[in-house]
Amino acid sequence: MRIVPPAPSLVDQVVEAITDEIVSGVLTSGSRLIQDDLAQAYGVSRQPVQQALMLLRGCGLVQSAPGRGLIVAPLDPSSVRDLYEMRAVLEGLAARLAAERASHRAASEGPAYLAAGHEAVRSGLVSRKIETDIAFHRFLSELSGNTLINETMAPHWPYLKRVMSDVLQKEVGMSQTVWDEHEEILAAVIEGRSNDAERLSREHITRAARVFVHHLEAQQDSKPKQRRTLAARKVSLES
Amino acid sequence: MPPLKTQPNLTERVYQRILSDIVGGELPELARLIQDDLARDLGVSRQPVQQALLLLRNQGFVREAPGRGLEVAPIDTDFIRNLYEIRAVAEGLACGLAATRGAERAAKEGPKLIEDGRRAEREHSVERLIEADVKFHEFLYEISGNAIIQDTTQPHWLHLRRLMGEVLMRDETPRRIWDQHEDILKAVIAGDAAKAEELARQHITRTAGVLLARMTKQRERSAVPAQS
Repeated sequence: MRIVPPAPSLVDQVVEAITDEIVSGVLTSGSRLIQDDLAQAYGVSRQPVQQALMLLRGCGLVQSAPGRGLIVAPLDPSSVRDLYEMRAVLEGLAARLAAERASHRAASEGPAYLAAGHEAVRSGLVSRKIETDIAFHRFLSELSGNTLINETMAPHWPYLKRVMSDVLQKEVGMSQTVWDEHEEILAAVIEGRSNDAERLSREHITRAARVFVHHLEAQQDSKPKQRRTLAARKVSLES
Repeated sequence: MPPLKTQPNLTERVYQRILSDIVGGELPELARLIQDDLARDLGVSRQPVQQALLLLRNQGFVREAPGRGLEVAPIDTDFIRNLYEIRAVAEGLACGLAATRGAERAAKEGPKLIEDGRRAEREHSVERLIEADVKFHEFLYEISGNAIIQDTTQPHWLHLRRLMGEVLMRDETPRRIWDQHEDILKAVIAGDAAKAEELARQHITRTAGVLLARMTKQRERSAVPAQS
């Protein structure tokens, strides 16, 4: 019998909704996050909002500011660096294991992920580019057969999405390179070249990190962004 | 006004006590956990026990027993295997970074940690061996300068301690663990990041292999019944 995955909980949905608003730039660095306003905007009670904010705090997307409550945390280059260092070795592990254990599935299912990625690049939509990028990496994690890899990365995805969005908005040429590298990684996995798969994955993530960190450090030197508060909006969530 | 320091509440204390008994082996695999008995033994009401057991269930330390109630979950070898795969690359990362960023501290503070491990070996103290092992690896995480490594592997440590306790208590200590630790430290002090990473990965992978093999052998010997 197939295990039916549980529907995303209300808290998960709220996490996703807030993350998307941060990623899309509706909520900018420093914006205040007021529980009651969010609850009203999303049409939910305070409790799931409170829990969502706790989770977002846990991954560093949100932080408390003295006297201001919770705010959207500014992206911190050294946190990003740390996260990407960890991500590089985990993705390396996933690719290695995928090459060792699931090269057949990589061959049959992988090309669709690449196609989706190329399509996203052509579309130019940042949200699509992020989605397909994450989907590709999740696919490799799945092939690895090590369920803990995804579990370990999962809490950090909101933060990662935000970093990716921030940079992809500006670095136009990057997207093509990303998918060229994805193609190389998939080829290595399909051919069972586990050392190459690991090395290429690590290099891919490390290269991206270098761009991100450089970009953030450059940003830190420019003037602070305009701060906006969350305006009430009708956002419906499935209950 | 400075914030009040919170006392660990009752649920937290009950949780810690049961967890420590599981990790330490006082509550062995498949031991029954009956709410009322636990509440009585600990001198508390059922509610904190119920909450504590829920937490432990979420973390995989207890599970539903056939029939009623809960039992201490057997160590899940697939889970442990996955955990060690991650740990191997995480430690590799930490040691590589430590060699680059923390060689000085490694030279200053590392040797004492090795000595503590050697002493625990001589004394044949399982508890001290585990402590020394944990301290050594935590030190490397610290000097790596990457806070996330520790954060991501932290929840796993309890399961690892449990496994180490389980296996080390019944068998003699795996040979060469502290030799391997010493080699890793040497590479870190020398600032050789590639070597430190390689040695760390090998060390973890080797240790995992030994521990899991012993676990399997122990199970065969005591014939732990599989859950149907």
